[in-house]
Amino acid sequence: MFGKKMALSLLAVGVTALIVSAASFALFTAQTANNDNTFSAGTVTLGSVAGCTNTYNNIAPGDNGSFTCDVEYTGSLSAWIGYTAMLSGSLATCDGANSLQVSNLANTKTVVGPAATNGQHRAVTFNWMLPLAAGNSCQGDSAVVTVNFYAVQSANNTTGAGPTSWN
Amino acid sequence: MKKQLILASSAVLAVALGVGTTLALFSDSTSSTNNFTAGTLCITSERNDGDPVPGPMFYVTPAQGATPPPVSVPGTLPTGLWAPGDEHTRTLTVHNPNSCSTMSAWLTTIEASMHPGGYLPMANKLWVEIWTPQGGGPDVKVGEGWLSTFLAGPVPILYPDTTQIPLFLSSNRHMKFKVRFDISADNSYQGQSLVIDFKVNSVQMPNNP
Repeated sequence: MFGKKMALSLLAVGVTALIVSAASFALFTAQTANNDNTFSAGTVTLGSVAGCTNTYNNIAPGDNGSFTCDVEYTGSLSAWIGYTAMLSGSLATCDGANSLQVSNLANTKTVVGPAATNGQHRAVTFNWMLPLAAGNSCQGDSAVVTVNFYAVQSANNTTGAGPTSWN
Repeated sequence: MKKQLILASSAVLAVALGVGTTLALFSDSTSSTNNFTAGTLCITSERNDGDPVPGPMFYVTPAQGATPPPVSVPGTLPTGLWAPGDEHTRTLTVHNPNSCSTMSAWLTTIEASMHPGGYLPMANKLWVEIWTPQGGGPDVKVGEGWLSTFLAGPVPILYPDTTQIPLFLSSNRHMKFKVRFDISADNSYQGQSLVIDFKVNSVQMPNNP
């Protein structure tokens, strides 16, 4: 008999607990919203490069010249523009210091001017020369200057004069 | 025999008198009506920082942040296009107005929803922090997470000491939303966008410690 009473009591407690539990989920609530928040990432893009495809044939010792590579910045974010320029080929090494000389070569990314904004151009001029003292070892040789341009965001990436990172 | 008859008659008379007395008691009645009206909880919000209202907190161009037509006042605090590493903070003032609310509230969670067509992966690169003053003191951080977490469901907001954030009746509270575009975002995020609705949830304060 006592056991039955106890069981009934426990059942009653259980039911009460369930009711209380259910009530705790019935609190009044309200919500407010702020709509239409737009997050748009900008772009860092380079346009075409002008003036950077040139062929110079039949160079003789004492010849010289120059060419200018010009790139347009087409991104929407401000960006640092950099370049690398590497000289390769036998004409670059045919006679030591008297081999083909090219200015502004850069094996590592080198910044060009201040950070660019959309539509601005950055240019690098290369002067070349085959010294008059170049010997016969250079006859028939050739060389190539390969120029690459790079762009990287300037926001949150600046030393003041260039980027902290090109990656 | 006669005695018995007298007694019986007396008893009948007594009962008859008794019934008659009962029916003749003075009486009166009155009623009153007890009305029970449940209170209401409503909260509203508007952007702050000097921008015209209403309008979104975060927008790229002044036109995007303009108030709705026919007035259409341009927004004054555009973020511009986001670059990795950019961080912007905007304020949402949340009100508990007595014009529609009758009780104080706890601010409990913040959630977000994305408009169709957005670039969902970008939500994994936007870090959101929520700041609000505690006890008249400076702002403290009450919630944080990637935007994707806010999109997945309500994110709890609590003071650093884990106590709840009150919004008393007829008062308001500044909620600062600090959003950072993570510096690790690569070129795949270039030119991508998403549009977000932020929602602040509250629950009654009375009887809800």
